[in-house]
Amino acid sequence: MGNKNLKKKRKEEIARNELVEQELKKSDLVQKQQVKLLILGAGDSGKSTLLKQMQILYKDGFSKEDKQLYRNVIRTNIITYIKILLKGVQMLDLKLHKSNEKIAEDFLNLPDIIDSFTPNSILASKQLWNDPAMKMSFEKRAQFQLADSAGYFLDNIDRIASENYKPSDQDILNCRISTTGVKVVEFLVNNQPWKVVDVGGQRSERKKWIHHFDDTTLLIYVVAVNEYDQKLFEDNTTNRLHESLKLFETTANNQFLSNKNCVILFNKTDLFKDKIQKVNFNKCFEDFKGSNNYEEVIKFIKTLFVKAGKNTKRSIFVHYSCATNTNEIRFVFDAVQSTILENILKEQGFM
Amino acid sequence: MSILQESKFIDIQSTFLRLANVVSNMACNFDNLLYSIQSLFKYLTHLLRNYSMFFDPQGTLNSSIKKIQNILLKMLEEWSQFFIECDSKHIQKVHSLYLICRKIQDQLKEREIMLEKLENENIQNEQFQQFENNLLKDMEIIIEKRHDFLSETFIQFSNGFLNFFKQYSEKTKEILLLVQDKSHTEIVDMEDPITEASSIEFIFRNKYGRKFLGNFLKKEFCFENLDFFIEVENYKKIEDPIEMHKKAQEIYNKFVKENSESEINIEYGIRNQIKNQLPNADSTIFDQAKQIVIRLIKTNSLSRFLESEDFEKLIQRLQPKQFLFTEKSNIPMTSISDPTTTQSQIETDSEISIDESLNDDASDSDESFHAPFSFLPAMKKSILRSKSELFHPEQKESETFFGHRFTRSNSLLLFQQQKSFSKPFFSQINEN
Repeated sequence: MGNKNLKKKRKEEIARNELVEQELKKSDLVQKQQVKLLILGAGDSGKSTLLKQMQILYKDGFSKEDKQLYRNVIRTNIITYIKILLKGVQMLDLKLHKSNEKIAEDFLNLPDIIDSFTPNSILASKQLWNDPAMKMSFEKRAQFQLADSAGYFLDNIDRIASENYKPSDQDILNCRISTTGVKVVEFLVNNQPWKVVDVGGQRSERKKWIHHFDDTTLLIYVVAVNEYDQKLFEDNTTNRLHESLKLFETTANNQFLSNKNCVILFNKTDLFKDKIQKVNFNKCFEDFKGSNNYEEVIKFIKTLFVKAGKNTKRSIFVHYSCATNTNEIRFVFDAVQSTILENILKEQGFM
Repeated sequence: MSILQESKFIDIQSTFLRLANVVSNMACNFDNLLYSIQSLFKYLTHLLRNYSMFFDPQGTLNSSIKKIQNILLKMLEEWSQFFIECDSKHIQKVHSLYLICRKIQDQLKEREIMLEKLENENIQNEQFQQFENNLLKDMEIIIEKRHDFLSETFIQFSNGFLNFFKQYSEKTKEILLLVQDKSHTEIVDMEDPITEASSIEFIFRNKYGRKFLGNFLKKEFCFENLDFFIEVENYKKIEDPIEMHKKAQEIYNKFVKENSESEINIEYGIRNQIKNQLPNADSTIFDQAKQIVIRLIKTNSLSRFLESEDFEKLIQRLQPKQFLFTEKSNIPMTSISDPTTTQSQIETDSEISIDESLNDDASDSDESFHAPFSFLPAMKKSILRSKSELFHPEQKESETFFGHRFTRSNSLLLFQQQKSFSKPFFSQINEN
């Protein structure tokens, strides 16, 4: 009797041992496997924002130097936004308040692009931003090129102008710096080494992507869904969402990527929610026959993209996010990681 | 304010220059013994000049302070190492000096840790200053205590060092204040175009700056930005209208046109504007686009470049190979107009350039020296030879800062003898 029990116990022990060993082997495997994430998408879709989120989530946030850089960029951007809106006022034939006309003139005479930020200019920006004509111009911003985050920063102008202003993480996440070239950043995500490739999204940047296509583990394609009524930065005629769809189709079916799993991240959903109440989606996508609400439109967009990238060799995962929201992005990356793990284990025959 | 800051920085710089010269004058009295210190301060000066060219409010200054500190530490380490190996007859004196070095070295190390803490905002500025004051007191005590052991020259040197350190510490405070001004209170014109541009513009305008930045940008696939910038700069120099028109078309085809070979990332409006202006191209046609690419490089690549190997290489390249002997390098520098430049500084400079011609016939030294202490045997020899001078200085005080005169013959001899071991010493520093 005792002997039998002992045998049974031994068997159990062996089984448990094996299990533990297998787990160890698995985790070992996972840790050794270099993961390469390719973040692609059209210009201004939020690719670099994802990278910034990873900096917050998996590294120690932004350095002092980063913050200095962003502070300068944010402040310079405010001037740029005001100028764009002023031009919008002119274009739309709106009338500024009398007292603001002189200021507006001075503003428009500021040299283009050159970084120009003085205490006077920030005060003037504030005054102009409070002008109803400027608000009107802002409402019609889809007609000219204005960064999505302009509203966020203009609303925070007091804080940004204050002497001790230090950009918060949220400010940095919202701050747009257009990317040029290809950046490879390494992260350690729950003990797993990730190599993340961030690229510029404009047309002129896309030919550089191919240099990093090989060895990709997973493709993350970012789509800014709120862009459906906006025109391209590069040619001012093509609809941005159309462009993004076309780009996805060609990229996802590229010979190096066609068998890679893919995550489509529908981004800027917060801005999309606002916009859908004001701008009819049907105006931009005539095929769309549904009713103009968030759920139906997003479902429609999703179908378009999934169809464009679908083939038998890959799985497509869809996520919705607002890339400036750290919690949402943490959720996305958790999901991405479990996909990757599953994949690795499958490849090694564990599953 | 920014200009004020710049002038402050230049002031700091010239103080360093002056100090470096004072120390080098003193070093001459020790003959070869303190040669390494002299060269070190020269190196330090040079480094500061280099860094000033990259001076920007975004923290490079901090790292330059760190570098200086590292060098000081290194100097003291080598120095004390040397004393260990020194002649046994003077063991007592040497030993006490060695202890002083050791002590100062430890304190400096501690100071560095504190400085780091300060940068990371783990401690307050006042705390650091408190520490600094204590440190200075400690040093004074250390040096005072040993007075009886030491020869007059050593005491003078120690005091000189102490003085140097005091001033250095003052300057550190100033720099720290500047840096803090920038990040906490000085908002007004933080978007200071002059200082901001000076760093990147230096890189853009310097031959090697372009080369190494270019290498870096190629790795990140955005070299076209720099390429375009350079082409536009060349374009602006063209005077002949026909030639100019041709070049404008060339640049347009290569960088601006849609789907062109090295298309730059500019928005539709600007590209269109260039296209429309092309038939009547003037020298400003690409200016707006140029500003954009500068900005792209500045916001995208510059900070990464400053941390890259390529930047390290650039710094090394900018240091003339034998800058000891060619102090007046041909690198474009931020102009240093310092009315207080001492006579001795001018003297030193002229000595150096005279010496350049003598370098070639001064290479008769021992081949078996090895880095990093390859210069020690030679130093020992010369110490033994000149020990009487060394420990019983006979020179009369003159009007110079620490009461020692810099003599021409002395320095010529010095440079001739020491030329052979200057290189390994520096290559070692450069690696760090």
